[in-house]
Amino acid sequence: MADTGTPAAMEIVLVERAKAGDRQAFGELYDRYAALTYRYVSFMVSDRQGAEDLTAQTFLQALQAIGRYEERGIPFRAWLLRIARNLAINNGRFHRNHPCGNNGSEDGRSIPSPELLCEAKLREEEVWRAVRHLKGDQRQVIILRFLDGLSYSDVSQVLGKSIGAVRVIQYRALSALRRALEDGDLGHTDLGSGRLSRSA
Amino acid sequence: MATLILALADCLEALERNSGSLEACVAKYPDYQEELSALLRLVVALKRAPAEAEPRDGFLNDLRSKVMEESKRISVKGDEAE
Repeated sequence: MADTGTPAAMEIVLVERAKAGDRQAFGELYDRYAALTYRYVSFMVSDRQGAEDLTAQTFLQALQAIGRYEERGIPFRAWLLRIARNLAINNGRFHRNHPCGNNGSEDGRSIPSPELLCEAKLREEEVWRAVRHLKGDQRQVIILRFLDGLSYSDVSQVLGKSIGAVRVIQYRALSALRRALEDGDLGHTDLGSGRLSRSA
Repeated sequence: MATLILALADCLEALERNSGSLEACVAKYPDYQEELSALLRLVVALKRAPAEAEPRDGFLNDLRSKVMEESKRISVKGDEAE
């Protein structure tokens, strides 16, 4: 008898119900993944309105297409985020690099100097500002892995790349970030308490 | 390079399973200690979501209502077609 008690198994049941037209089941899937989807697209567009539009389009398209969704090793959330990615690319909203223009970040400041970082110790805002300057695939891997908490397998499904390629992109992205922020200034982060699990 | 990439992946996977500390993982790869430590510190910072990645108050609830309304419309349309 199949185990229906695990989160993954429960999700499969939910998806099957949604495919069969169960509106409540689709609502539960929305509750699970709406925030995750918003976080993902918020780094693919340049403003809040764009992120809201893209999140809405993603779920409306998922609603239309869920009858055709087949699991086949692609988890629902990977399928959903792939819809978001394709919408962003097809709508021309996806910032491949430097979404804030050549002058740096949205508030007009460039990536901070080492001195500033040193004074402020490690400020997450600065790190995430630097993320916006990463190349497209690198930025997406950082967001999917560390903001949304997806596994290598799920990220590979979203991006249509192998797990090995995702690992390489992850390394290059982190190295690029490290260079941008000038290594050493990140040393204030407490490694000892650095558990990496995060709540959604 | 390939080994460093795998070491990084190994440490991240181990830590995501809560099966050890960052220091313990870095200690397994003495040749890459400095770079691995720096990259993992960066990941710790990245795990804290920036405010800009959070939706404004009410947005997700509003969108939920819109999505559910649309699903109702699709459902009615489907029933009429049968």
